[in-house]
Amino acid sequence: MNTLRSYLTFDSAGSWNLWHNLFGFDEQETAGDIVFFWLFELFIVGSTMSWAWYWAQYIPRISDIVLPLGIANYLDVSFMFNGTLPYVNAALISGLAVLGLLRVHRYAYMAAFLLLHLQFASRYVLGEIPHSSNVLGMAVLGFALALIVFQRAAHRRRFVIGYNYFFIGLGYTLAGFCKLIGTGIFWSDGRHLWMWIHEKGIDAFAKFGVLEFNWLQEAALSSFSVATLFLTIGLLSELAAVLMWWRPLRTPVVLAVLGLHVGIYLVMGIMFSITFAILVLLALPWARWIDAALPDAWAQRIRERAHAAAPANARASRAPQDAGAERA
Amino acid sequence: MSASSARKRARRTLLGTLLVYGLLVATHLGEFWPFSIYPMFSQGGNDWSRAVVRTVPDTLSPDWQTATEAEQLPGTGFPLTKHGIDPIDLSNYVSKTETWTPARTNGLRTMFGAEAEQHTFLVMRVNGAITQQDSVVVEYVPYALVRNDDVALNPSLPRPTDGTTTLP
Repeated sequence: MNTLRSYLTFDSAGSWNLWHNLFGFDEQETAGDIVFFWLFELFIVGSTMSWAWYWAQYIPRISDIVLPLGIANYLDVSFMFNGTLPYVNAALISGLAVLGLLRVHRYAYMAAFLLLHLQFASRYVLGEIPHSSNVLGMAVLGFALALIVFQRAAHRRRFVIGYNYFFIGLGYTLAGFCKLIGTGIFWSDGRHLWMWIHEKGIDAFAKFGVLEFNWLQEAALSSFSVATLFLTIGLLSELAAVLMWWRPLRTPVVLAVLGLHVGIYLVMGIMFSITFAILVLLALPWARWIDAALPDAWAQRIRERAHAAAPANARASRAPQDAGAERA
Repeated sequence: MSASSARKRARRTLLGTLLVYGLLVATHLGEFWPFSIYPMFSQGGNDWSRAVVRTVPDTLSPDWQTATEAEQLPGTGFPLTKHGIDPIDLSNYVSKTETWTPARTNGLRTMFGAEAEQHTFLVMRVNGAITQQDSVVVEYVPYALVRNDDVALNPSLPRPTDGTTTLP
């Protein structure tokens, strides 16, 4: 509890400088920071593989392009619709992700990211524009950039975490502004929620063959005020998300965004599971908890090992003027 | 690399990514995975369109009449997710198809895969709208009867040869 309280009040920030709050390159890394990063990276790599194979299973069912997205606007991705290519691509993505994880090559994650984009663009050509995997995609891009741009492992770790807070906060706030631009300040009119509840009810009807509403949906449908309140809370949570860039506000803001997702799930039946999981990882003070749980000897060994790790492919691709200065 | 040069490099990388993000979403209607302006649910109160599928007897000869209650629908509900079909894909396929060309019609059949060898499906477009009296009305429009060897379309759907331009 004390750990959580100290994290919420954030006594170590000491500055409102955005870059300091995002990255904190001059701060000492703890063993908890390092272990948390390893676990976070492992989760992102595992999720990348999982989604690449998940999409691969669906692509052979497609035979026509209704709405091209991303690279599919320029490349006819119908060559991916045969039975084996999506699986070959998933295998390549998996292999490259492992190479990135093991720091075998500094461009491995970037190659995995580009092939994952192709996999996405091949899977989503039927008109759906999903946002369930955007946060994962941005995270993979963050790891890819970190491996290319930074030589020191500690700098990469700081960059990846700050980068994720930056783009997650930006994304939710953009979503809030889109609502204000698309509909105006009356976006939170409860009748709009009634429409969406019915729409998502039909989605559930299509998914499971049964049409029914839960108690929270019934509460919103039976009261304009309740429905308006739900939408107002949701909109404010999105607009405030950009505040997660600053560490004193980070945990409450990310928790509010998590609450938004729980509300969306209960009222609309939509769960962005991978986004939710990434937010849970980024919202709670895992590093502090790991520090509290680790014996001192282990913590010391982890720090030594992490700081002694050789940079990925550094000798092969480092700019000459940086040689030596950035070695971990 | 010192902390300050790392910070500079991080700032440049972040702002560079932001620039690419902005350029790609600005030139691709707000979407270029994983970059997005996240416009979902930004248009409040708009009419919507989805799709549901019913399993019907092989002998069914549909009258293509619109229904307003789920209880009026023929056959039984076909749970798409259980059979590996994404309902949103199907909804978009049905609602965003402007002209039912043979390729597009065949694409609908392909989505059902081997399931169409065992069942006959009635694919229905579902439209939702809010009335002046603040109630939501939902209507179910039969679009296509999908069998193993053929797809029968609602006669009022636009096709390349008949010159029809109005959706039901």
